[in-house]
Amino acid sequence: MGALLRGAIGVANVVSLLGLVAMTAVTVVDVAGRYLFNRPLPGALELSELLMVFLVFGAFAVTELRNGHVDIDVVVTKLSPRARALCETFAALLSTAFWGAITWRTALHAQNVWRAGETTPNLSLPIAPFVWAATVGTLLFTLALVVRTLAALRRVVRP
Amino acid sequence: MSSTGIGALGIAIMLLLMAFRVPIGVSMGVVGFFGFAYLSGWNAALAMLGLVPYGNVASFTLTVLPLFVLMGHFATMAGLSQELYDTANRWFGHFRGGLAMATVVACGGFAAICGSSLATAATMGTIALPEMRKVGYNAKLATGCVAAGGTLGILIPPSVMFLIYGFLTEQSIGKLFLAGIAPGIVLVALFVVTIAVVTWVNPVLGPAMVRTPVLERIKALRRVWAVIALFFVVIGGMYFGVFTATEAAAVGAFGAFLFAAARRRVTWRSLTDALVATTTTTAMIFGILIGAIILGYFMAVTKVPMALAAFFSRLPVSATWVMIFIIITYVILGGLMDSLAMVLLTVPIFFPVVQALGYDPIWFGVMLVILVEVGLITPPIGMNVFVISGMSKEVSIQGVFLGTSPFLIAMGLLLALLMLFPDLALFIPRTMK
Repeated sequence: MGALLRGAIGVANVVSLLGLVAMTAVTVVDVAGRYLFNRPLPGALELSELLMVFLVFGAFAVTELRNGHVDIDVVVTKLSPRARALCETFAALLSTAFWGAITWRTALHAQNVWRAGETTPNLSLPIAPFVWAATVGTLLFTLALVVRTLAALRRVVRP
Repeated sequence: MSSTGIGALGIAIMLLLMAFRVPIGVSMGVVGFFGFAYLSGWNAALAMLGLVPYGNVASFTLTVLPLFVLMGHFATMAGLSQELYDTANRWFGHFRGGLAMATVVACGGFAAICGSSLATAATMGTIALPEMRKVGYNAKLATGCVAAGGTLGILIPPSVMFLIYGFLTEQSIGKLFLAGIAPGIVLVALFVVTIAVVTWVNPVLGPAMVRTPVLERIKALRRVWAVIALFFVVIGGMYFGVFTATEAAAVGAFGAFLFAAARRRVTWRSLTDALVATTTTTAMIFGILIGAIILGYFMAVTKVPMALAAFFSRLPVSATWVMIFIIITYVILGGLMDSLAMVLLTVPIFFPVVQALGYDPIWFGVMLVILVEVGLITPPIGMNVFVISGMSKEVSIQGVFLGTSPFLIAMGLLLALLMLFPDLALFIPRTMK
């Protein structure tokens, strides 16, 4: 796999971890502020929502690298190595197409949000950058799936 | 073809895709997309594809999910599982099969601070399996009780499964969590009885240990105060309305982290491991969830769930028989499918049926979670069994499945108890405002 893609996925992973830490911190500070100092954190709810974007979309690609996305392995294990590789190629190709389509449509959605100038209700943060961030996450996921497809294809040719 | 027929065809294609190892989320998403496009037009389907992923991730409802997963990982990091096991051993070790009983009791305790069955099984497995094998416990009994005990993770709150069910059916997370407590405790008791019976029939399986003096046992109870404190803050906080579910989860995760820090168990490595395990689990769940939501759009336009609900409510048999039919369906599906996929796929279909028959949605949530537990330890796909057999080199997957089989009887008994006395699940949530 390209060192560049691996590096980008590594960065996304760190962003995802920071999103998780920040989300925990925001919620704890909000609760502590409300009960201890009678001053809740303004906009804690929508901050959590936006941090979820980093957490989830940042982690898709690295989860793919670690084989974390669930599939069912009942039928395929009984096939020959080449037929199995063919199934894997098909599955990876379909996954690539699906997440590629999601990336495409999420990018269009980001554009619409950008043009409409949508902002969050309490803190008036612009939403578009977060949708773009989500697009980057699904793009990295799609690219990781392309790599998987090619690897499976190689095993069809030379099992 | 009628739209209901298209829906049935879609489901068949989806199952075929899954059989050929297309990831579960993609199988649901692809069928959902094309089905929805066929019935409602390409423009609507493409628009949905752009809105569903971002819209459901950037939504407050599910922020609670990663936080509860994190709490479980931090609790493991803090070593709370070891303390639970040591204490349970002092109380149960001197019985025949006592270490196995201690294992399921400790699993129940750990389930009170961890929302995942796999994590509960894996955590208790690393501690209990070596101890049991060291003193000559039968390998099938040892692995079976960890795999079965681990399933308690999703019945005793917090619980990832209750979160997903609550999200799908718009039920109160707090009520669902509380409804799991009493059945969870009963199931622990039934597991202990199961072990007692199994080792009574064949005492070689699990020899008794030396009895610990009562005074020492009572002293040992103090060691589990961290678990009790966390459980009380998190679940008590939700019960008394001090916290929302998300707040309770964040406070619980933070609290578990503090315990880990106080015990000097936070290293850079252990911390990043816990965080990465949480984000990848969350991404995995959302990968399936996004596919399931897209499939849900398709199912809604086919009207399959409503047609099924109408069909079942008009059947000339009592609601009990329909429920038994649903239970049997879940037992079969649970053997064949991943638990999360099963819940995401079936709840939108069965929930309208259950409602039309007049069953309580919270009660059905508890039944569903127990059925998911059954699915986690029944062949051919039993995730808990896979995890435990991966940890224990000396027992085959079939061996672990054999070891878990007596515990299925206990689960069946609990389901029957809940059918006869729904209040077993409902009496605690009823007291909540």
